[in-house]
Amino acid sequence: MGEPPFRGYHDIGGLPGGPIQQDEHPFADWQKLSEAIRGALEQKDRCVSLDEIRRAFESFGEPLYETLGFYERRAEALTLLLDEKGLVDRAEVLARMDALAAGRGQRVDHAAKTVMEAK
Amino acid sequence: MPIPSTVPPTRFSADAIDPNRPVIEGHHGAEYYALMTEALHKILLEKQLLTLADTDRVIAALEAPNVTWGARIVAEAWRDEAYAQRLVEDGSKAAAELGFKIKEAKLVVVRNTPSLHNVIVCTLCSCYPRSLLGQPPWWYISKNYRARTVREPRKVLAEFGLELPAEVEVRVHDSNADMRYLVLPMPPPGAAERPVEELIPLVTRHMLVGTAVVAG
Repeated sequence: MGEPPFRGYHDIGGLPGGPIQQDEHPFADWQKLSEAIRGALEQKDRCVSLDEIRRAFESFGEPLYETLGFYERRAEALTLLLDEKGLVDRAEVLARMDALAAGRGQRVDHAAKTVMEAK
Repeated sequence: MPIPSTVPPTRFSADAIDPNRPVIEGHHGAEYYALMTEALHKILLEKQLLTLADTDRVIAALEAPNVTWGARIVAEAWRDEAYAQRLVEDGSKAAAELGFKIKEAKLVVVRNTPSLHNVIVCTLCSCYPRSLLGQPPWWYISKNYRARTVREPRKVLAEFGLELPAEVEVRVHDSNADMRYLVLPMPPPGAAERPVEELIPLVTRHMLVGTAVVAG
């Protein structure tokens, strides 16, 4: 041994922080659907587990972990995991997002993780 | 603030964290991930990896649990000391007695007393007894709650309006992948003689997490 214990960026217990925002947010439809996709895949084919989702967002990099919200991190992890397992090509998901957005007069900035009105 | 692009997952991250740097409460990306979820769902349906009925069934299961289920367990424990003891001994088993199946992990019930107050957090993730209480509140999944509750619980409780006397011990329980906690709050006077239906509305989500106590 001798080495300091490994601490991942998700291991935030005890770190300093600011005031806790106590306002309530509804459980949005897309958040439900995202959780349901994972749950259904787990129940049906056991092809993703919550432990694997955790492993994915605990290793996709600190910058993303810091900027994304809770359900957003899990949604990102789900797509990464399905790509890793060869079930759904991530590029296909991104292309479908572009197509869906285009049909609504919008465009997607995949680097900035935003959707905006197309000029 | 520029948002970095995604990096592929590695086996584990070697990122070190600075113990003095405050947590960053990011909430970006809702619109983007709503679109990603819609796109992923369509692709999974096309590939026949899922049917519409599969996700509808899970959504119904996500929507059903709520605070009154946890409150029902607490009301029973307030009325029946033998049940309260079984609950503390084996939370999952005692919950099942009332028809509540805790699916995700083992349920551990921690009991408040005049000299002990329990509070629940999940520092690593946001583990919460979802199959009993539904989705956790926003503040429970926030990084500020996750980070600070184990370091300065009395300060955190004070932010929720709960000031405990110094002689009351505060015990913080950090959830993990295999355990979910539920606080058994102290009963209001005369609870043992009151009907369950009268007790259930007295129990709030805050009490079940330990960020509030029964009034009076």
